[in-house]
Order: sequence, then C-alpha cells, then structure tokens
Amino acid sequence: MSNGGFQPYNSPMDQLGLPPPDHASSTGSQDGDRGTRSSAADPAGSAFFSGDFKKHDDLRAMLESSKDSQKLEAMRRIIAMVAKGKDCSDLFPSVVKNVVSKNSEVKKLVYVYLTRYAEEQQDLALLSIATFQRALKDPNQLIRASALRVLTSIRVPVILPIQTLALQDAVSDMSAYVRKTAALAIPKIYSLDPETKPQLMGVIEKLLADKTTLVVGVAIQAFEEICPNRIDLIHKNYRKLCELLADVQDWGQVVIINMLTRYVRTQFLDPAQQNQKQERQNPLDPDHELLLRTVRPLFQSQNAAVVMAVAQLYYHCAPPGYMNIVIRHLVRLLRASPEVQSCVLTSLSALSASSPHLLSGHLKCFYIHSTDSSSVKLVKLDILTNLATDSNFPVLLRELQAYVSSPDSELASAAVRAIGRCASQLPDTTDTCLNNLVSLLAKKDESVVAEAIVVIKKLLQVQTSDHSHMIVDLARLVDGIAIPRARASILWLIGEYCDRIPKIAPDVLRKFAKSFLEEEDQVKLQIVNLAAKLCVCNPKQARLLAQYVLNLAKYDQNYDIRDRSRFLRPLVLPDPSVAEPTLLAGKRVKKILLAPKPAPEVQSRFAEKSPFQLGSLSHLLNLRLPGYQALPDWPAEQPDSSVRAVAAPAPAPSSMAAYSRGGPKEQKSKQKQQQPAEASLLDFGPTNPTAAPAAPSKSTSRPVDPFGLMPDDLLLLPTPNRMYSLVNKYSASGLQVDYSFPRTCLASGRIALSLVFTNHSSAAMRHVTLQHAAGPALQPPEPIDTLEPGVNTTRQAEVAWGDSTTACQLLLRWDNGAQEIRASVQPPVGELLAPVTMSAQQFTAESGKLKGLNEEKGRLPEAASQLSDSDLAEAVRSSANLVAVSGAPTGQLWFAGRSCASRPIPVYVALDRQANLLRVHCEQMTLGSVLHRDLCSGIAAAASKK
Amino acid sequence: MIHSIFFINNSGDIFLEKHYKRVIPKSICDYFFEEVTKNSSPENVPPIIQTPNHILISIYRAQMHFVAVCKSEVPPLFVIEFLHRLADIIKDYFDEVSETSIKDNVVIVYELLDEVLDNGFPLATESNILKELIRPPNLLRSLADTMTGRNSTVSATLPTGQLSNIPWRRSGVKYANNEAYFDIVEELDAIVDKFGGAVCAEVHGSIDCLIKLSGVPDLTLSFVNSRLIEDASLHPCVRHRRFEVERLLSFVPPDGGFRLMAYRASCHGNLPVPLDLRHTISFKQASGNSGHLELTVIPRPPSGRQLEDLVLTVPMPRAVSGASLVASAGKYSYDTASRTLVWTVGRLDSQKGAGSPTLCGTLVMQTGAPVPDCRPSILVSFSITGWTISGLKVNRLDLHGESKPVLHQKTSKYKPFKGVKYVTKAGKLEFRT
Repeated sequence: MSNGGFQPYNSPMDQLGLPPPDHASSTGSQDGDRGTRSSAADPAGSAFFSGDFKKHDDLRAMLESSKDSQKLEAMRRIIAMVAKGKDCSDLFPSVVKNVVSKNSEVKKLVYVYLTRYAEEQQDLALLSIATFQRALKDPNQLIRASALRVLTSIRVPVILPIQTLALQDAVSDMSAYVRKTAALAIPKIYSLDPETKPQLMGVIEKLLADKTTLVVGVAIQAFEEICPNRIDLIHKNYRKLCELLADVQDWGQVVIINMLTRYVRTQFLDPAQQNQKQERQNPLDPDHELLLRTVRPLFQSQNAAVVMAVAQLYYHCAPPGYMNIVIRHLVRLLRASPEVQSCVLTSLSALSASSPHLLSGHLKCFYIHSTDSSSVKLVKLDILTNLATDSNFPVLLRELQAYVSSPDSELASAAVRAIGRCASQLPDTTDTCLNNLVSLLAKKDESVVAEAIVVIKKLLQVQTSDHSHMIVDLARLVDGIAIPRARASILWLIGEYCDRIPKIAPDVLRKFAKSFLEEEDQVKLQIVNLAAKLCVCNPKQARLLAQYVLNLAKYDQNYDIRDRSRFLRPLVLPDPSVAEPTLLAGKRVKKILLAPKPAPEVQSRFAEKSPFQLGSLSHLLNLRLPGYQALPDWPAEQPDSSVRAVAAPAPAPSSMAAYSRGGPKEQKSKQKQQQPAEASLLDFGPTNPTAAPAAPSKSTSRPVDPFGLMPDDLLLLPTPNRMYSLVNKYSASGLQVDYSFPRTCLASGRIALSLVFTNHSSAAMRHVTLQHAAGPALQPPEPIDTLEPGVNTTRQAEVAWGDSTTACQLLLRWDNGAQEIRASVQPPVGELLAPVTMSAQQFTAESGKLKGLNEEKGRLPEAASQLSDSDLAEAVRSSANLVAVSGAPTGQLWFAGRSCASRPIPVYVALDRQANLLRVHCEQMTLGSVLHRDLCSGIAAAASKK
Repeated sequence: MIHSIFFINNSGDIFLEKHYKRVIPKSICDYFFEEVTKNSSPENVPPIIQTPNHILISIYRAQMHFVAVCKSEVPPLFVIEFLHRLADIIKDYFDEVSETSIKDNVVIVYELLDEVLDNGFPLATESNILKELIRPPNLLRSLADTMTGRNSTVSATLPTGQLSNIPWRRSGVKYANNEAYFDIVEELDAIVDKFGGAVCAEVHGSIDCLIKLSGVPDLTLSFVNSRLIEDASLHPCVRHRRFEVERLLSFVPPDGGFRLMAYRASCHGNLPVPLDLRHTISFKQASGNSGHLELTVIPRPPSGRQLEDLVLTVPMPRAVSGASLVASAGKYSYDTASRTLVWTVGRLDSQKGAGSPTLCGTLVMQTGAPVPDCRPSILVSFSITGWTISGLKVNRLDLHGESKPVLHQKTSKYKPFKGVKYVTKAGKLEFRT
C-alpha cells in the first residue's frame, strides 16, 4: 500500500524523478516546430504567403466572405488545425463574428472553436453571448440545448450570472433533452466558481426528481460531482431510480449503481451479519432487495463497466450467497478487449486473495495464453498462485512448468517465483517445489536460473531441515552465473549456513576476494558479509582473507560498502592495540552476525484486504485518488426506512403514461421488474401490454414539468364520465356500444377510449370485433369471444386524433362477420387535452406569449353568474380535460392543459368573472375557438341544471 | 470524468487532440511515451498509467493508441469501454478505424468527439442517433451535394430517437428491400499441450446482425437448442425477461449492423479440436549452426466441411535468424524483424487424397548466440463455414409489429429476406511444443 506515489498531488511535475517541466516545455516547442514545419504542407497553412505572421490571412479572407460555402471551408480547415493541436487563437476575432451564421454546420464549428479558445480571449468571447441568449429561447430544442452547452462550456467567470440564469431556466424546460444538457452543465458552472454550490444544489434537487430516463443518469452524475454526501436527497428518489435503472443509458447506469452502493451501505443493515445473529429470521429490507433485483438483469449488459458496477454492488451489498453469480459474470468479461481484461483481472486478483474458494472452479480461465499482454500474464499468474490448494497443486505445477519454458523470459522468471510462493503457501508441497527449482538450475536461460536461486534462498530460510547438499550445489554453480542478484543470494546462503559447509565456504570467499573489484555493488556487500561471518566462525582459515576484503571495501567507491566495512571491522577484527575489552567481543559477535533471521514472506499484491471500492480506479492503483468516495461501514442500527416512502402513489396517470416509456420498451421494463413493480406500473393506464411498438413520442413543447408538482387532492377528483353512444341497440339488432373518455393520454399521443358493449338481444353474440375503417389510426380493442344476452363488457381502445377532431370511422362486426355496421367517433375537443399543473406566475408568463390571433376572447354565458367558483371549475373540467391553476387572483379562474398530439400544443383558459370574459389561449386557432364554444355551452348547461 | 482525449499513432505522433475541460498540454503524453519505450510492443503498454497529477487511460486499436486523461476517481472500465465505443463509432462512420481514415475525415471526427462527450461525460453514443446528428460521408451524397450546392454534414433538428422509447433506433426507416442477416460466429479458445491433450478449451460465440427493415419491426429469434447458451450478454434492445424465461431473443432492432448477443457455449466433456498437429522443433543439431523444424497438420474437420484460412504462426526466440523450409502445401515466410514464422496453408480439402500438409526443414541459428532452450508455442487460426462447434442452431425468425398500421400512414406488410450464416473460427488457439 503505497500512498507515497500520489502525495505531491499539487506540486509541480518535476517531482518523483519524472520528466522535469523544462523537458516538457522543450517538447512543447518541438511540437511547435513540427507544427510550423508541417503547416507548409497543410493547405490551410500558407499556400500563398510565406511569412509566419500572415499565415492565416487567406482563412481570414474566407471567413469575411459573404458565401456560406467559403466560410464553411475556412471553418473546416481551422477545426482540422485545432484537432491537430495547432494554435489558431489569432483567428478568434474573425471566427467569433460567424456565430450568427445561418448555416448550421458553420455555426456548429464556430461553437466547437469557441469552447476551445474562449478562455484565452475572454473579452472577445463576450461578443458571442447575446447570440446564445437568443438561441436559448429558440423553439427548436436542439438549438436550445446546444446554446446552453456552449454557453456553459465557455470558461469566462464574467458570464457566470448569465450561465446560472440559463441553467435555472433550462432545468424546467419542457424538453427532456434540454434538461439533460442542463444537468451536464452543473459541474461546469461548479468548476468555474465553487461558491455557486448552494444554488446548484437546488437545481440538482429538482433534476433528481425528474422521471425521464434521459435525465436521471446525468442528474446523478452532477450529484456525485457536487454534493456526493447529501444522501438525504436520494431517499425520495430511491425507488424511482431502482425502477428506471434498466432503461437508463449504460453510462448513466454505471454512475447510478456506484452511487446506490454507497446509499445501501448507509441505509440498510449488513446482510451477512444479520444472518449470523438471527439465523435468517430477518429478511432483507424490501428496498434493499428491490435494488438487488432490479439490478440483476444488468449483469448481462454488453458494457463491461456496467457489469463491473453490478458486480461490485453485489460484492459490497448483497448477502454472501450471491457471489457465485458475480464471479461468473466477471469471468465472462475476460473475453473482452485486452484493456478490459487487465482491469477485470486486477479486481479478480483482489478477490482471489481474500476469498480463493469463490474462484476455485474457474482455475482454467486463468491459464496463460502466449498472446496475452505481459501485465495480464503477471496478474493471471498471481491469481493462479492464490488459488493453489493441495488438491489442485499437481495440475497447477505442470502448468507453471510450461510457463517456465516459455520464450517470454519475464513470464518464465515470474513462474519460478510463483512456484516458490506455492511452496511457502502449502507446506506439504515444499519438497516437490524445491526439487523442481533445483532441476531448473540446469537451464540455459540465466534469468530463470537466477530467479530460481533467489527463490531457493527464500525457501531454505523457511525450511528447518538440513539442506547442506543443496547449498553445496549452489556454491558450485556460482561461477557460471552472471546475474548479480543470484550471485549475491548464493553468497548470503553460504555465509548464513557456513557452519554446515565448513570446507567449501572459505574457498568461495577466496575466489570472490580475488574478483572483488569486478563485482556489482550488491555482490560486494555480500562478499563483505560473508567475510565477516566466516571470520567469526572459522577465524583460522578466513581471518586473513577477511582482512583483505575489508581493506578493499574500505576504499570502495560506494559509501554503503565503505560504511559496512568500517562497521564490521571492529566487530570481527578487534584492534589489538585497544586494551579495553569491547562489549562485543567473542561469542556475542557470533550472536549478532548469525542471529536467526525471520523468513521473508511471499505474498500477493492484494494479500491485505483493500479498503477501496471494487472496480474503482483507486482500487486498481491501490491509492486514494481525489474524488474517491469511501465506502461507508454498515450502520449498527437500522436507519429509518420510511424516508423512502413516496407520498402520492407515483405521478398522475396521464403524465406518467405520456412521457415515460410506452411501446416495446415499456413492455420490456415491465417484464424486467418483478411482481410488485409490475402491478403498479400496469395500473398506470389501459396500455395493452401486447400493443404494437408505438411511433416514438416527440414531446417537444411541454410547457412545464408536471412531475411531482401534481397536488395530491387533484388525483382524487372524480373524472367526469360522460357516456356517448356509438351504436344504438335499435340500429344494430340488439348490440349497443357506448363510449367514454377515461382521460388518460397515452404515449405517442393517442387518446384512450373506454367502450361498453351491451347485448340487448335474446341470443349470445359471438366474436364481436371493432375495426378501423377510415380516419385517424386506431388501436382496436380486444375482440370479445362471446357476449351473453343482457351482459355488458368493457374494452379499451386508443385513437390517434392528434390535434384534430376528425371522426374516426369504425367497423363493428359480430357473429363471425355475419353482422356488420359502420359507426364513427368524433371527440369533443376538450377530450383531446391533458392537464398540466403550473404555478400562477408560469401561467401568466406562458399565456402571455399566446396573444393576438392565438387568443380567443368572448363573453361568459349570462348564466355563469349563478354558479359558484367551484361549480364553474367543475363545469370547465367536465367539458375539457384541464386542471385549475392554483394561486389565480380572486374573481379569476385559470386552467392549463396541452394537447395529446405527438407535438403537444399548450392550451390556457382564463375566466374573468368581473369582466365576464372567457379567454382561450392556444396556438392553433381552430382548436381554440371550438374549445371556447364548447366551454361556453358546458357552462350554460351546468347553470341550467342548477 | 474524461478531461482530454489524444490519438497517438505507432510512431509517437499525436495527430488529434480534444479537450473537454481546461486545455491539458500535449506534454502530458510524455509519460505515455515513456511507457511505450519501456515496453517491447505497443500491446504491452499498460492501459492505466499514473502520473503525478493525472491518470492516463488508454486502449490500443488498429495501430493507434486512444489516450484519455482523467484527473480524479472514475471507474476505469467506464473510460476503457468509452474509448472502444468511440473507435466503434469511427469504424461505423468510415468503414475502418485507421490513422488515414481519421486524418481524411478529421473535421467529422472532431465533430463526433464534440458530440459524444460533454464536459467529459458521455452524451450520445448510439450510432443511430449520431448518424442523424452528423451525417457520415458517402460518395453518393457528396455528389448530390455538389449538384445542389448543399454542403453540410450536421443536422439542424434533434434526432427523434433521442427522446423516443427506443433510443437505439432511428425513426422513419424505409427500405425497398427488407433484409435481416444474422452471423453466428463461434470462436474456439484452447491450449493444447505437447502431448496433444487440451489443457483448457472454451467456445465463445456472438451473433452479429445486419438489419435493414422498414418501420419499427419487432423480431423474435428462437433457437433449436438454446440450452447451449451460457453467460450471455445482450444488446439493450433485447427483452431480458423473455430471454430468461423462454430462452429466445425478442427485440426491436437498431437500424444497421450491431452485435445482438455474445455468449459462452456450454461444452461438456472434451471439445473436438478440428485439427491435430505433430511438431518437432529443435534449435541444436550436431553439425553447424542449424536447428530443425517439422510441422504436420492432421485435419479433423466435421464431416462435409472444410478447414479454411488455415494459418500457423510460430514466434521464434531471438537466436533464430532465418529458416529454409519446404512446405507441401501453402506458403511460408519468416519475418526476421519480429522473428516469427508464418505458414499460410489456406484451404484444406477434406478429400482423403489431400492428406496432411507438412512443413519441414532447417532453422538458421545466429552464430555465437547461445542455444535457446525455450519452447515456442504454435498459434493456429482457421475457419469453418456452415458449422458451429457448439451445435447451436437458429430455429426461426419471426417479424411482428409491422403488420399493424402505424400512425398516420399505413405501412404495407412486407416479407423480409432472412439470412443466417454459421462460422467457427479459432480464437486463441495455441499448441505448446
């Protein structure tokens, strides 16, 4: 665990012995040189001018030209240069002018250029701001979004207030795409000025409540970057997040799952502990289980990052029994690209160190292919060694031997080390391993031999039994080995066990004393050590040699060696002239120099449990990176679980069905979510689960976000259920069909129709079907197999009326087509609408935009004065699917709604009692005037009923 | 998350850079180059490199390094997967990922880079959506553009897919010929030891589709023996629940080519490796500086099929400076720079007469170099068409959804042309000697 590597985080780059800044800057200038050199060949460089100061003049001229094609060509060349990293900042004044260009590609390229250079040319960049402000109001959502994107990407502190204002507007934009862009803008503004945090928190809170899959993932990302510790903001959204997770884009899934892992660790009890204490009496918290269940299908994602995120969630938060699935899916990732493979292997290696039993079944997956990259090979070897047990050892050893003879010498020596680790892990196998290692000494590859010697040295230290013959063999080999590490190891062994090989040791010292000057430093040190040790054990033969070696060392160039000789000399060769008997004389010296030494431990890199979240970059590098959020410990007591309860039973049916998922995707998510979730989702509307995939809904101009704003009491209002007759029993020989509008606006802008089939005849009717004949598209109701006499049955159908009240022609058939009758449905215009909640301010602002021709103004019917406010509101609601705006001034009644068409049109209705006026604001004049007429007659009818 | 992206070619040129937050100077790549020089081959460059202030996360694809610079904690796989997705998008746009294809279309690539990430977080990575935002180059279109004087690759409206329930599919797809092709490719990963026994063997398959169907088709693909599929990964369009319960793939496909599913095939007992190899490789001989090599391929294809594209690659130790061999079939070459022997056998006819091709001769050893005593592995690649090693077979493909009238327009029911192709290839197949 080395935290050292990252310590000087804020210090300049020259630390840690890495390339100093001047080196960096010199490469920079080299790049510059290269840039100018290659610009000669570049068309944009200077085909016409050779001087450097004039090199962009041709581009400037093109940018000033009046032709779009010239401008586009110039911008393309400039962007090509920017992409290559060449400096084009001098063109800024000419480029920024073109921000107003009408050509969408010129505009886009200018935007790209601006975000790159605005920071360097702050004053000039301000010239472009007005354009963005205008674009933020554009009716095209793509233009609004890209204006917001670029505006917030311009890193100029002066415009911060403008950015924040734009952000706050965009958060409640009707287009989910703009809201997504807004969520992405939050970290940009935060990085420009961290002081804005309180404001941004409000924005994040609003976005977290969003229910569109497009927004949720990015909102969580903003949350993670700005206020990752405000777990309390998640409570209310937790269940929604779990349910939406499957449909969020894969990148968002990763972010959400990582955040929820932390959430689970703070809000639920440790599942492992629970089981121990109460012996499985206490099941998981239902919310905890909900997450684990909804996340599980994501194991099969094609994105490795998602699989890893799910795996770490299960690793950190699931009861232990689930680990087998986790491992299976992680092992599957090993087939992916080499980079993914190497990351996943690092995580698996951590797992293999902490709980090898989990991986033992997958041993063969970690066998090394000769085409693996070198880092992958080493990690695989580490895992293989971690998984070694007495039972699989013979197989594993054969495999390791194959690696030893691999042409890749790095792998070969690592395999030798691995054999050594197996030996120390499994004491029973030590002898087999040692024999194997000794047989490797006959190999011709030096590095393998050297590695084997080092490993043997370690193993001999662990071994208590006598291995003197092995040391003798090693001593004989020393002449043929050139690698210093191996030579040093042999010398150390001889020194340490010199009493076991009394005959050979002095001879070795003699040889090395001769070659002392030519040796490497680490070998020299060991020669000095050997000399000292021999001098103590066998002074008769070695004293002179030791003296010679210590003298040589005394004048060595390396200060370590000099110091060592000075330090050892008085110990082993006490100066006879000093009469005073030193404390360290005689036998004590032997105790010091030949004290029993602890054996080195050979361990995996991940032997100690890493404190970091599995799969994180910090875990991979084993050091804490900035921005890493530590995984909290499980709480001791169950925190309040009611915080996650959402008051209203999800959102209003109409809005939910209209904006979230319809068609096949909805179907899919329903299938994914299991029983409880499924039931609640199915309640939302009479969507036929086998419905054909709908055309993508284009909810472009939703005036405000209705989610979460719907007052609770509104949901309780009864839906006016006016029945209309489709087919009369007299004209259809006993079959009567009535219909009503249940006022659920469905995805793709279709309108639901509730049909009641009643058999008034005396015989049963077989196979009653309703088919589309002409007019707006119809999603026909399910056929009725048998309709018994006197019985009525209800069926749902959907018609795509859009904004028009065109009649939908239908064909009613029964008795297997023997009977047939035509009918048509024409909706009252009020049924084409869906309610939208908004505040009084929003209402004034939005309705103010629809004036003049878009406003239908007329007198209220006289009878209206007899009605109370609530009766009047009821009358309006019964004739049009609108909702009252709360907070309207007294004497006024305001209603808001929108059409259900694929491109919704907002509709606002204002009743002014004093002025006796009824105003309808609507973009589409016919719709407005018809609605006005209907409302008037509705109010008159209500009054006459009184 | 991602601060900057650099594209670096094999000769160390940074030929494209894009910054998503503050500009990070190119000199950051010096740390990367340091790692490149440290490692013998570009494949060995570690994917994650730590520098004092930044983390460099890179992938190596098509002779190029894609380097992402990060400053703080980020899931490493997130960045790696993103870089791969980026390369996939480039491939989708220009038919190949290569330095030349990127340099030729640098403006479009830069526009793409601008669109895929915002402030370092992925924005739009579905190629169906991107293609509507930024149109891919196309000869026919550029001709049309010059004629009409229009000259723009970016679209002015938001692709409908962004907001739809099926974000992976663009809307309003129309084809004159409706076609759906499925390629089921299985790869055999195996290590065979020197005695001819398989040390480990696994089969991984994938189903790649090319779907050109009008409207919003809803497809169902079922298998004859779906129990063979284990550990599958599915495209987001596949309905997970139906796969779990009924073991069939039900989905509304994206338009164009994509990977529908990848899976591991369960293979109980020993897998039949469709060829056997006899080999003797020795680097020393009594006389002179020459070693000896003899390779014999014994094909064992399934009945009625043929081994095709058979290539054997032997990476030799440094001491082998050349080879003079005789091949009874195909051609061999020895690359002295990388010291690899490549024997391209090609197609092996299954008729008995063709027998077993042999490569035999001497290896020229460098004078003075010690005789290496390592054992090189032999890498084998082949393909067999019309056969899957696991035995997986498609039962049927059904098209739903297009028979019903779609809003405002009635699409006539069509009968798509359906095609399924089976291929078995060698994945990481190696024979130890």
